[in-house]
Amino acid sequence: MSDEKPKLERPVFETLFRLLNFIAPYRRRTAGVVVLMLITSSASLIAPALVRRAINVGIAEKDSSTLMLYSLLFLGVTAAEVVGLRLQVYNMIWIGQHAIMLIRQQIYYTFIGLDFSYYDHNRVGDMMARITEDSNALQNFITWAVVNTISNIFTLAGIIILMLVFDWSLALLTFTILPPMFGLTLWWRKRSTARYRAVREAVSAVSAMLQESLAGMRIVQAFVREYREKARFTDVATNELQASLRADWLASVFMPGIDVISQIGVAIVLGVGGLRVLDGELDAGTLVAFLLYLDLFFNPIRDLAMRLDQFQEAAAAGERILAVLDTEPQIIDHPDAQPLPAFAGGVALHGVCFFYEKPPENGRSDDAATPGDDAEIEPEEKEEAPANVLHDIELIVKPGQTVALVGHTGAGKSSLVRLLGRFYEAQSGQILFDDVDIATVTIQSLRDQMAWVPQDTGLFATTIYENLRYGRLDATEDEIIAAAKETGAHDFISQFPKGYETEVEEGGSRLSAGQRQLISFTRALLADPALIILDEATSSVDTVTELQMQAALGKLLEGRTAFVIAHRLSTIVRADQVIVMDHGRIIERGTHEELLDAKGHYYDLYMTQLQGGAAE
Amino acid sequence: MKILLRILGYIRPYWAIAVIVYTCLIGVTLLTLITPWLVGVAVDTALGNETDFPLYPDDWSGKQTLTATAALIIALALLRSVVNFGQRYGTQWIGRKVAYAIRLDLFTHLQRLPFAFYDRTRIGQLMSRAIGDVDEIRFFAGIVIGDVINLIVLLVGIYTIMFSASARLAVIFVLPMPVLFVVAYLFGVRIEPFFGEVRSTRGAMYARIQENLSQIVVVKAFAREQFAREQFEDDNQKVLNAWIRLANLFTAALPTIWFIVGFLTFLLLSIGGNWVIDDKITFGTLVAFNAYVGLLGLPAHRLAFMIDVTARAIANGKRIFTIMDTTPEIKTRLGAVNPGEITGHITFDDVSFVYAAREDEPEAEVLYNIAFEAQPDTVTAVVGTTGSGKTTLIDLIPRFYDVTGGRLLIDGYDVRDLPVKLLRAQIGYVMQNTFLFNATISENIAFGRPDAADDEVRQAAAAARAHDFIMEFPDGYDTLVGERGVTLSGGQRQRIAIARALLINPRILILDDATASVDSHTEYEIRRALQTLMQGRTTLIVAQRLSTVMHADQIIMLENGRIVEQGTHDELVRLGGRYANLWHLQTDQEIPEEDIRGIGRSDDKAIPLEALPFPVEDRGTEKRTTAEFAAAVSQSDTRKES
Repeated sequence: MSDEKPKLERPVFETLFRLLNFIAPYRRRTAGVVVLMLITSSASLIAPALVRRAINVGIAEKDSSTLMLYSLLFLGVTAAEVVGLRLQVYNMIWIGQHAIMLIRQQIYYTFIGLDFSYYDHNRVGDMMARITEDSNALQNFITWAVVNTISNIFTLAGIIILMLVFDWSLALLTFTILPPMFGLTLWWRKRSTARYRAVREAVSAVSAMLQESLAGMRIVQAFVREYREKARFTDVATNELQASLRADWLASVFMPGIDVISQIGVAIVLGVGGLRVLDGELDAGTLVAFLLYLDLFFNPIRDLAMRLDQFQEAAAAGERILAVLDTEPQIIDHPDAQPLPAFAGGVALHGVCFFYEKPPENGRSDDAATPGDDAEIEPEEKEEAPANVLHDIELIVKPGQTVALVGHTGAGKSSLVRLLGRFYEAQSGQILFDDVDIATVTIQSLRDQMAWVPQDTGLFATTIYENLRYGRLDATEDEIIAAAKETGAHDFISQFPKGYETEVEEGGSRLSAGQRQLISFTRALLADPALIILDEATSSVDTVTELQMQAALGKLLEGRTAFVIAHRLSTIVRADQVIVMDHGRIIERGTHEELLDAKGHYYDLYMTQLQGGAAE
Repeated sequence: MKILLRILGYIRPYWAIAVIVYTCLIGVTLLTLITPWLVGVAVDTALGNETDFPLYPDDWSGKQTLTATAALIIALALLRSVVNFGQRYGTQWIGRKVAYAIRLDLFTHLQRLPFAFYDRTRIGQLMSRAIGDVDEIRFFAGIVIGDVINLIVLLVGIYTIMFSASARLAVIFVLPMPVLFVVAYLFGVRIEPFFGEVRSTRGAMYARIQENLSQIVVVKAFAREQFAREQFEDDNQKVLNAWIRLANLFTAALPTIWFIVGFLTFLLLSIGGNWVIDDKITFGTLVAFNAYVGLLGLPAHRLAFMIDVTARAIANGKRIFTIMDTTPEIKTRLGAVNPGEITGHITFDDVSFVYAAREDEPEAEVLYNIAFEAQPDTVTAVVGTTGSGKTTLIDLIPRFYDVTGGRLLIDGYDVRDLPVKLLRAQIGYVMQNTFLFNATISENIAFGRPDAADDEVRQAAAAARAHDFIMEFPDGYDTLVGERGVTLSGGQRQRIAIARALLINPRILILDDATASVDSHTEYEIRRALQTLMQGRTTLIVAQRLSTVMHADQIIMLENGRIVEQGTHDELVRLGGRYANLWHLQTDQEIPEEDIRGIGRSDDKAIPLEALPFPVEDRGTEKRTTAEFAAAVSQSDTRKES
């Protein structure tokens, strides 16, 4: 959260009004809630008046049956209030939760639909904050704010009017406690907002420190840094303690302060009103009713004060959410897009030029910490994303060929393969799949016919089985096992006590690097695509695993067209075409042998790396 | 109960403050009880009834009594506000202090727990123990204990006053109370699982969203947007259902409590009212009773909350104390000997190691009958396939794990007889997963020796071939790394980790696949630098690439936890066994298996060819530059043990 009031781009009421559209489907129920609210508020207003009548007409006149009548009426009104409240609150929660379900869904679907470029410029943590914190702020607003605000104003006005009607002069005298009550409440709200913000910051400092310290515990122990880490932790924890106590102090002053003010009200009613009762100018029932109404005063006032914050929070959250919902993906199917016909695997790039467009200037990013343990940042992706360009790429690949892309970090390899899946759109030039321009086909049909093996393997925190099935959702168990056998993944999978039902945990952390690769290969194989894009892992694995992976890779690439961002010599040697890239251009092409014979850039790379990599 | 007592134990250091706070609390409750009485007196006075309030002289007129009462109410309110502040702030203070103490204890204890604990515990879990769980205990230690005292004083007080004012009337209000409390109790007990359901479904939904957003590359590449939506729809619906169920119970229980209080008022009005008519009680008593009946509703209201919080405090306390009660298996033994500076003679004497059995785990990585020696000033390489036990073997040396059979000796001492911290302080360890902290590069390098001078940091970085890339950042050594800083490549991280290990000038240097993600060119450079740095130390290297280890003084080949071959590179190649086989696999020119991950990954200029192949005897070639470093490092040898 930024300091003080966040700057809002659009008028608060416009934002809130648009947000209220989310409860439009529950219009009737909402109307019902408003009616219930009027009933319950009226009931709470009427109850003291009934007590007044019971006293004045029943007790004072010594009329038992009237007393009973009003007592029963009181009970009836209480019952109505209670039943009304149950229905009202239940339905408020019902509406709020349904609306928020819809909002969450729309935000998430928007995210899922957005282009890669959006993900390049926005952190997952921030995106999560839209779905978690912001949506919750909105849900609070929808569930409680609107109805309760109306109800509070209604109740306050009702009390004031009833008191004036019963005895206007005593009422006016009693109302003198209202300004201090309002004043204290507003003062408290203003101060506490700042202090609770400080508490939130202190708490997130504690969790950040804790998270880091736990993640690095092995290093801490290995370097015998426990003492210092504890001192650091003590520091942030002490800060949090102090910030919290400062906020507590304020709250501890506020409630007793309000208490004093309302007791002054009681004293006024008793002192002034009592004397008048003594003089026979005021009836006892009114006196009691006034005392009862005094009790009802405070809650609506405090509630209204708190709502001010909620309105502001909801407006800020709502604006961020609307900004997401208003984001349109740039890469979409053309109006007359056709499905890509069965794809044989011929790929051609003609005069393809591409540069990353600047992000739109809306980069308001909170430092919302991401939940979850190890949010590892993938260095390669991030480094390669911004400002890369491709110039006049010409490339023809026959069905079944393997293309190895070689070049420095930032040479444009990743950008090139991303264009093939239309994750980005080239500014000029043409990409043809079997002579069909991929810009003219539906994205779903395009991506359905290709499979990706990302560098970090991209496994999900579920079972091995479900991870494999991700490649083809309608695959049967037999097909999945058959595919796993083909890549050799079956061997290690069946060694787990739970076999295919083994949970791999976040990012596949239960598995070794080699095992993750094999799962990733199997998943791609199961998709049975005509085109495979493979970003080779850089981490080294032992030789036996390496051989296994190469065998699996051979199976995977067999009979398919493949683009490989190659880091392993064996892959390059096997490739039908080696494309050497530099600064967004193809600077050399040919087979491994041809390029070695040419003694150009590739030769230099090969010689230096090989010499460094192995002796002999 | 034991758990609650243990939580209460944390209040003990503040017992004096607690006494004051709880006295304030009782004071507030008693003061609260006086006001309705005063109101009753005032109402009776106003109506001209007889009143007897102990403080007032009998001969006061109605006016005097009323004015005095109004003044007294204000005076009491002022007094109460002071005491009330003390009580409110005090209970919070106690709660916060307890939470703070538990958190620190937990953190301190977590630091003592061995690697084995972290192998099976997720950080997210520990985070919620230390943050959320402790916070709920805070509610218990602060507010709930105050509430319990308040509840008792309030009930006793109300009934005492009511019975002394009118026993007949008071009896009526004893009977419905059990009902009120049973409802509140049932509500308190039953609501928690519903809250739990909301929390867990929502947590699962958030986790799934987060995962899909992080893995958007995969989602889009497989065109699985629709699948992701369907999964989400399911999650979303579950959250909604959990909420509706919660709302259903919640909105049923609270109004029931309110209604019972309303019903009590009805009884008061109808029965009490009649008695006023019959002059059995005064009207003021009726008004006072009305206020007391209102107060009766409060504790019932709180009871549900109290039960809920207490139940959670017990559950959370149990989880937290379970962690705190895990005695670290690896700690400094009583009567440990202080060997001073070690020389680094390592002996594995028939060492075996078995991971404690756990269900659901694939075959445990174990070691059997490991026996070898590593002399100071030598390099020992450990090779073998994944899962052969390499990392476990070297992890035994700094006692990240303890042997389960045999002995591991350093300078003739069993490592279990050495002080853990003293031992670890003399071991430089570069782990497979290089973890860097969210701090500057310089702070990261100086992690093991925060007092190191800038020069020393630079020299360590230079030795690890990190200096050049560090200087390319605008902020140089002050560049922030980690989440809020620059992102480093795997190779860069490893070089910083190596610098970090070198800076502590360890007697024993352990490199666990330390050059796995640097390109071959850099790896070669690091290796060259290490040649000098290894001098005088005992070095253990784990590596996949045999070219990395071929110059080692001895090579240990592991397979399934046993040493299958042992000797120098030449000996093992000549032996023609597994090592030789692996060596040929990796170097066979026909099928070049050694990867060239380096291709294209480095912008460094090609190194001059003549500098490349270096025989074992050539170790001293780089002495001129590295000797300076060695000298600087030995100067700072006086670093203190914390």
